[in-house]
Amino acid sequence: MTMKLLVAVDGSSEAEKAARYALQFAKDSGASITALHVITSPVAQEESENVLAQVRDIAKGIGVECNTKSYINSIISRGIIEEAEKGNIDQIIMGSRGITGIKRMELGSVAEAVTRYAPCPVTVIR
Amino acid sequence: MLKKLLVAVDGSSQAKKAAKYAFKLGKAYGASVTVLNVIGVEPPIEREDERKSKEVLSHVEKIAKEAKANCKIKSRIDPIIHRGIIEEAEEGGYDLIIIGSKGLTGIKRMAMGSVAENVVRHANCPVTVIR
Repeated sequence: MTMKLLVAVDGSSEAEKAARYALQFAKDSGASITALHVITSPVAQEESENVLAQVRDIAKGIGVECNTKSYINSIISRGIIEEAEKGNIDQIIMGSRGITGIKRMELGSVAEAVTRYAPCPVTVIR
Repeated sequence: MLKKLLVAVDGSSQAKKAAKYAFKLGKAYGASVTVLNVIGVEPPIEREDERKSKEVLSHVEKIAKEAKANCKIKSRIDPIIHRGIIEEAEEGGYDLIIIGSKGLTGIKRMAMGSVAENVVRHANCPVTVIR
């Protein structure tokens, strides 16, 4: 059975790093990968499309297939965890802080909540 | 991409899972795996502490053998366990730290122990939390 990876992205530079890591990891390990952008409102749908298109570009560059998905949930960490549960994900990969994080913060609230409550292993990239 | 992996263990079942994961990953990448046990006591350490650490590490070595994986083992003394793990990772230039979500002293219903949390928070490299 192939491993299923989920990379959570949000357009931040940390998320881009996480996406690069995850896509390379998927390529090397033969795992399937989905890039997920959780948005808190349908208003952000268009912007989300841009964020995910950027991930698809990176995937193309690395030479790996990548599914992309945006998902609406008012609590971002919950959205990520729900998707991981629904998709029977083996591992979540994400940046240590996202787009709303403060630079000097070591770990954002979303990354913290996901590492705490995810049903599967979580890799935090920085 | 991954050349040097560090897995922190403490004799808990979560740590065993983390070690197994590390060996699998190490084999897949041809990466070296170092198994670290931090002896969380104030020096001078007693024989008993050393013995316990050796026991934990030799158990993980057995797991490595079963998995047909190579690993180095190491123990380090630091009363603040997460600091010991992070410093080891920095000094050794590791690409990834692998750790169980909670260790021996963790409460069952807790989602994540303090060591794992602090490692994720303060490490300079990627961290994978296994559960």
